[in-house]
This record gives sequence, structure tokens and C-alpha cells, in this order.
Amino acid sequence: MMAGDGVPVDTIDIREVKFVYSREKFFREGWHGLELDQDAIRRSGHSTLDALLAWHMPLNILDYGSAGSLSTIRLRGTGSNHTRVSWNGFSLNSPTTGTFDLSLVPSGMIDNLKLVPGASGSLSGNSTFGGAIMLENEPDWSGQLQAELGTELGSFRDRRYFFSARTGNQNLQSDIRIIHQQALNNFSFHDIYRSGSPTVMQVHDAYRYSAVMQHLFLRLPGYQQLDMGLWYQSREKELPAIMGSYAPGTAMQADSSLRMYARWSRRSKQSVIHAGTAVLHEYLRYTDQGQEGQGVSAFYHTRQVQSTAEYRRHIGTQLVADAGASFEHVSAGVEYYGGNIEEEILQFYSGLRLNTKPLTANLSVRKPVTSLTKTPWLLAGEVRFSLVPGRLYTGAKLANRFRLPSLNERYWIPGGNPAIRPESGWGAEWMTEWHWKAQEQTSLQVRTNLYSSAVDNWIQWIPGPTCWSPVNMKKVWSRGLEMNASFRRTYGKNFVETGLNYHFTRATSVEAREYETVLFKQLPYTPEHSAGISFRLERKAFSIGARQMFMDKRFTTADNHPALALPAFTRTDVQAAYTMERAGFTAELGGKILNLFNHEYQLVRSYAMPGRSILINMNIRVKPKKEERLKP
Amino acid sequence: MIYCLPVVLFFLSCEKENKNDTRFDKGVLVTNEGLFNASNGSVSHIDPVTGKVTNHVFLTVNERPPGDIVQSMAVFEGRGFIVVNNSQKVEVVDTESFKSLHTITGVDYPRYFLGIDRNKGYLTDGNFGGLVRVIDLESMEIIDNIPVGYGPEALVRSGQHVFVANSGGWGSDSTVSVIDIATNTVVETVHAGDRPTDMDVDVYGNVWVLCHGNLVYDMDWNIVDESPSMLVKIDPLSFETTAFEIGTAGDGFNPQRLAISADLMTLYFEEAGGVYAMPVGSPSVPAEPLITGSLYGLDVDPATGEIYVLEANGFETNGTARKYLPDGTPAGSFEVGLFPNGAVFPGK
Repeated sequence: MMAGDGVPVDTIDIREVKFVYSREKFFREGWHGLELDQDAIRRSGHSTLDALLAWHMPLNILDYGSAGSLSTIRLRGTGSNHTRVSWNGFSLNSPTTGTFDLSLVPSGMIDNLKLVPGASGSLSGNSTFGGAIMLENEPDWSGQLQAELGTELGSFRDRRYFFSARTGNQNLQSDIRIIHQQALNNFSFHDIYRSGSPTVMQVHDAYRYSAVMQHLFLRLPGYQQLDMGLWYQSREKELPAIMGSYAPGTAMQADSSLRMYARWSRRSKQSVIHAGTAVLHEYLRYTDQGQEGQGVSAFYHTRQVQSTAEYRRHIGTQLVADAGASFEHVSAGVEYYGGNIEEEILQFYSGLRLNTKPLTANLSVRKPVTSLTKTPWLLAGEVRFSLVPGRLYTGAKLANRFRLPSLNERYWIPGGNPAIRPESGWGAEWMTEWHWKAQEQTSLQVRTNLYSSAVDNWIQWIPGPTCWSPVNMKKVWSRGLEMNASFRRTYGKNFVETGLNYHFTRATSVEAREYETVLFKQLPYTPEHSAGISFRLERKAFSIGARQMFMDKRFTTADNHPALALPAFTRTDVQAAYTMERAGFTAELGGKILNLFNHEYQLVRSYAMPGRSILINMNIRVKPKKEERLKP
Repeated sequence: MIYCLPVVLFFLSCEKENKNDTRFDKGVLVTNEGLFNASNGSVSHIDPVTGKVTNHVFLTVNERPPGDIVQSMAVFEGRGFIVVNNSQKVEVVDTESFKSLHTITGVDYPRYFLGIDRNKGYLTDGNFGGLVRVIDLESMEIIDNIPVGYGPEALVRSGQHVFVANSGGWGSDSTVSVIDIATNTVVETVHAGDRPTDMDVDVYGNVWVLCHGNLVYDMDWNIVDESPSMLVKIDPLSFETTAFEIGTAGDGFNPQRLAISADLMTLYFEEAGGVYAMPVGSPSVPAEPLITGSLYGLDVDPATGEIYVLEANGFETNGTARKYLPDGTPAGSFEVGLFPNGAVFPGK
């Protein structure tokens, strides 16, 4: 939310209720690449985070096959362990690999999503070369019971069920969500890796996912608030054979996680103080019985305790300063680590924000401290200037980032390299944003970002004399352009909106240890061009939407061998919905067709993707009385 | 829509690679394993006279990749048998044109092929209880299965017997199965060193077995026991063995590759430090390597005696084939595919 010239204030008054911005949100206003509120998330239906992001932007998301399969994101030509995903401020990235599986977040679990490409390390901490994705849950202090029951049924025996209930009063709010998803994923595809490209049916690709999330939000005397959240989820997934195989897959993967947090905050007229802690347990069991019934299994368990304490203070009317510290303890019980691993990292950070009418400027600093390795000072400076108030903005950012090596990179037996250095690098960005409005009914917004950033000591596993081992392999330079345009015209309660996105990404190795053939070549799985167009119309009870995305060819090897590249593709999705309101209930009947033109494509080489699929959804909501709903 | 233009341009710009008139039954064929679950295994062709390398031979000729994990290739009677491990198949090609002739399926974990006669061939298969699949070379169907040890790998012929190295696969084994090719039955099981992986036959018909050695871990993944890597000679008639310890327990190195010179008188084996050369009559193993460095594959041209050392260069970077004269003098290097693991000499 913005005040005046797009400049955020620290707290927002809504009647007597105040929402307090988190630190990341406070310092990042104006730099987000994508922001979705509860309504926008709800419109995506019963999807998962990967599909939700892909619907709105032509992002480089690597899906390893159908629904329920591993899905990671590579922003701005970086790796899948270069984007930090957080839930209410606490990092969800796996300590073992540094990555996060986007398919493990149903969109119904979150109320707000923010994506910040190229987030600065001084604000977000570890591993933000690609960016940061912030997932948030928020209380609704209206005191109204809000309940929703929904289901989505689709092709390939896709079944999704959702229940949520929010209730409470002005001082205590409870929010519970329960989700179950499953699919057989028995789609057919042309197996181009077999002789004659026969049509084959995908087998051993089913999954089941169940999750429950409970939040309690408590308002205490003296402008204090206590937020508590619990999220348990479990998924079992059959891992199919890849394309070209003549025997079905036999491997299974079971993931489960238990995440809990509590955060206390107190605000006064001039200051905000936060303190919170989270405990995150992640479990993974991989088993492969093989065709012969004898097999292998591997088990991973990690536990993280993350704690933060922050203080933010307004100094006069234009200056805000903050300081904080975070502490993280990780313990990992992984068979291949040669015993339990315990690690700790402490981080100190501070920021300064100047907020004058035409100019907003941020300065921030962070220092991670750990006995594991030498860490850099992380610095960031950002300015945002209003050239034409309310119409034209420009801004620039300079920041450095780092990534601590993952546990696998340090401790895996054999090959783990305890002496490996963190990745680090600087990045710069220039942004312009133009807003145009005509009589409050028509609006157009065009935004461009030009960026350039480097990742030095990029870690890569290479074969050694006895086994594979990670080394600080190369320096990568990423640069590119992101253009987003959106148009909206409102007709009373009806509207039409359309969006256009284009991303150009050039990410090349500029220094490499030993293997010169990779120099100045585009990084694998990094499309140079990607684009998307979307359209949405809401008229009375009806709504229709469509989007089309284009993904350029992607090399799959560092030497850019054309024979192994994945070809470019387009994909079109459409959706429609009809909403009825009766006696305090809202019923919505909708449908989606994904991959309308049934194009065959691969996001990860040799992982078959489903063709056209049709999904029907129905949701019933208890509707709060309109006059009592809170609308900022 | 404007952004559809790049799609159109992309497809317009796609042209099939020019076919050339290279004969693939001369020169050197290198099998490139590729990355697991990426279907980027390949076969490279090296013309040792001109130095020309043709990568992705199978893909170029047949317009599809050979599959996932190209484990090995054998040439027999004008046909190439490309064993593709994680695609559970054997691609049969005409070695001159490299055109696909057949795909043998119905296997689980195929490793190595050996042609026996015009009618049949053997294929090792399995990572636990292993089998030697008997393949009818007319119909390309599996006509019999011979149970052998765990994780059967390389197989060689000496006289009327085929010797199969039971590597243990995902379990453990230390035996060599001896198959009578007339009856397709195991007639002897020879105890060799731990985890036999590669084999060759010398000029006297002796079977030499490279044994990788065994590592035993406790619950905390500490190494609590380790057996040394060995070279074991098996007498083809009596099946008696003579063992040579080539690596020491605790050196952290477990070799997998063995090759033999063109005159079948000198063994080349992988150990810590590089490639070692050992005359078959030598009473002891050499102390110094003939060729230093690490390798992913090792083979010898049976006509020239030139040694091919194959190096993998990482997940996403092409490998290197280095050629050496029999005395270890470097004689050239070639960029081949991902994870080169073996060389085949079809014209020999």
C-alpha cells in the first residue's frame, strides 16, 4: 500500500486497527516485480505456487513433470538455489540443497505474495542473487465468520479440496485452512526419445498431498500483537521414468514438514518493535525398490530454529532507522553426512530510510557471522525519485549478495567440500515506472527494469580423482531487461484488464576454472527471451481470463550444444467463472483449460509435461456482511 | 501478437544438421554416458587420421537421442549394440551408417553386451540379483536368462566360456561367473577380489579381473572396513586365481577401468595417480603410473595399441578423449560428449 507519491508509511490506519509492515516489506516498497493480494490469489483457483507465479509472469520455472512434481525457480539467469522463499518472514529454503520446491505451496495457504527480483542481501540475507519471494498470512479483524469450501476436479484424475474458516473478534482471530490434493497424472504424450515417437501413457506419476495451517492472531493491550502459525503438510509422490525409458519408474519420494512460528510486535507513534522465532522441521524419504524388488532408500531430516528481533524508529517526519539481529540454528540428520550436523549463523543488520516528497532513499547493511566461513559485509543503496508526481518515477539500486554453501555442498559423503567459499557478487538496477489515468476509469502502467549482476565463486559439482566434489567454479554475469505493462478500464462494477510482460535475460560465464568451453555461453536452462500476455474481463457475475506465454529455446549444457537444447514453445491457458450471491453465501462455479492448444514441451529435458487439461471448480463461501468488511 | 514472432522465426531458422558421408565403421567410437535423468547420452566418432570429431552421431542420423546413460557399446558382425542403462534398452545400429536397426527392450538395468556367434549374444542386466540375457541376434528377442551374481558388469570370452564380473551392484559381490556358451549355464563361480568390475583376456587366454574393492560404513558413515583394489588372474581351464593388490586400504581410491594392449601382453589399469601399465607376466605391480591424471574411461585401440583416456568435465560440459602412444606419449585430444566412459574400435 502506498501513500502520496508511492511512498510507504510505516503503519496503515483502518478504523482503529493498524497493520504493521514487516522490515522487508517496509524497505522494499516500490521495487517488487509482482505483488498479489488475496483476491488475485483466489482467482487462480486451487493451484500451487509455481502455477500461480507462472500465470502472472513469464518466469523461468522448472517443473520436473506433471502436478505434484518438483518445481524450482531461476530468476534473472541464476540458479534454483539463488531465490529466497520466506513464509511470514522465515526462510523456507532447504538447508540441504538451498532450493525450495514451489509445488509444495498451495495458493490457498497464503494471503499475500511479493516477488522481488534481485533482492539485496542486506535486506533479505542469504541467497538472493535471483530474488526473494515473500509469502504472508494476514489477520482479518472484522470479527466476521468467513468460511470457504471448495473443490476442483480435472483431467488426469486431478482432485483438489479446500476448506478454510476465519473467525474471532477484535482481539483474537483464528484462521484454519485444510487442503488435500491428489492426481494420477495418467496423461499421454509423444515420446520423442523413442524410435518412431510413439504415443505413450505416463505411469507411476501419482501424488497425494495434504496440509493444514492454523493461525492465531492476538491483540494485546498497549498496541501489542502476537501472531502464531502452524503449518503441517505431507506429500507422497511416485517418481516416473523419464522419456525414452522402456520400464516404468519404481522410485517414491515422501516429503513432510512441520513449521511453527510466533511473532510479537509492539508499536508506538514513533517506533515498532518485532521479535519472533520459528521452528521448521523438514523430512524427506526417497525409496526405490527397483524392478527386482530390492532397493535403496535415503532419509533426510533437518530442523531449523530461526529467531529475529528488530527495532524501527521514526526520526522526525522524513527519516526512519532500524536495527536488528537474527539467529539461525540448523541441525541435519542425513545419512550421507557422516553424522548429525549442527550449524549456527548470527546476522546483524541496520537500515536507514529517507522519505521526502519527490525522493525515497534506502541505505542498509548486514553482517553475517559464522564460524563456518568468512562472510562479506552486505550493503545496499536504493533511490526512487518521482519525476512527475503520480505519473513518472525512476530509481536505481546497488547491492551485493552472497550465498552460504548448502549442507550437501559441504558435508556430502563422498565429495563434500568443507572448505568451499560462499558465492558473492554485486548487482545494479535501474527502474522506470509510468502511470497514466483517465477519469479514474482507465489506467495504464508501464514499468521497465534494467539490471546487471554478477555471481562470483559460483559453486558447481565436478568430477574429481575419486568422486564428484563441489568447487568454486566460475563467475557468472547476468544482465537483462524486464518490461511489464498493464491496462485496466472500469465500467461501473465491471472491468477489463490486460497485461504484457517481456523478459530478456543474458547470463554467461565470464570466468571459469579449467573448462574454457563454457566461457561467454548462455547458462543452461536460461531462456534469452520470455514473454506473456494476459486478459481478464469481469462483467456482473461472469468473469473470463486468458494468458499466453512464450519461452525461448533453452540450452541444457554449459557449452550450448544445439543438439541438446530444448525448443521454444508457447502455452495458452483460459479460465471462466460464474458467481452467485444468495442469503449470505457466495457460490462460484468455474473452469480452466490449461495448455489449450495441447502443445508438447519440456521444461526440464526428458521430463514429460501434460497436454491439454480441463479443470472444473466449485467454491462456496460464507459471505461477511458487506458494510462490516474492511476495505482499506 | 508481437511476441509470437520469435516463435515463427525460431521454427523458420531450424534446419536439420547437414548429413555427411562419414563412415562410422572406421575410426573410434566413444560412448558418452550423459547425465542421469537428462537423456543426453551420445556417441561420438573420431577419425584418428584427420582428427575430425563428429559428436551426437546417433542423434544426427536417427533424429532422436540414444537415451539416458549410454553405458557401453559393442560391435559385432557389422552391428553396433549400444547399451542404454537408464532407458532400459539396447539400440542396435548399422555401424557403417549408424542407422537404427532395432531396439532391444524387456531389460531392467542393462550394462554390457558381448556377441557370441551369428545367432546369439549375451547382455549383463541387473543391479541386485543379476542375469545374463541371451539374445537371439536374428529376432533381437531375449530367448533365455542365465542367473549370475549381483550387479553383473563386464563380460569376456575365453575359449568356450564367458566370464562375467559380478560387481555387487547396489548390494555386494566378489565373484566371477563362468558360463558355458554351448548350454547357456553357469559351470563355475570363481571367487575374485571384492567388487569385480572390468575384465580383459591376455594372449594366453587368462582372464584378468579388475576388482574395485569394498568399502564398509557404520551407521554414522565412518569407513570401518575397506578391502584393497585387486587385479586377479583367472586360469581359463582350471579357474585358479592369482591376485595382485594394486591399491591399498585407506587410499580412498577404487578403480573401475582395465584395458589391454594390442598384442595382449600388457595390462593398463586405473589406480590412484593415473593409468598404470603392467606386463601380464610381471610378478609385481608397477609403482609409477604410465599416464598421470584422473579418468572416466579407458580403452586401447587393438590395431595400433594407442591408449584412449576419457575424462569427464562436469555436469554440463563436454568431456575429453586423450590419445596416448603405447609408451604413454600424448598423441592428441578430442572434445567428445558428456561423461565419456568407453571407446570402441569398429574396424578392428
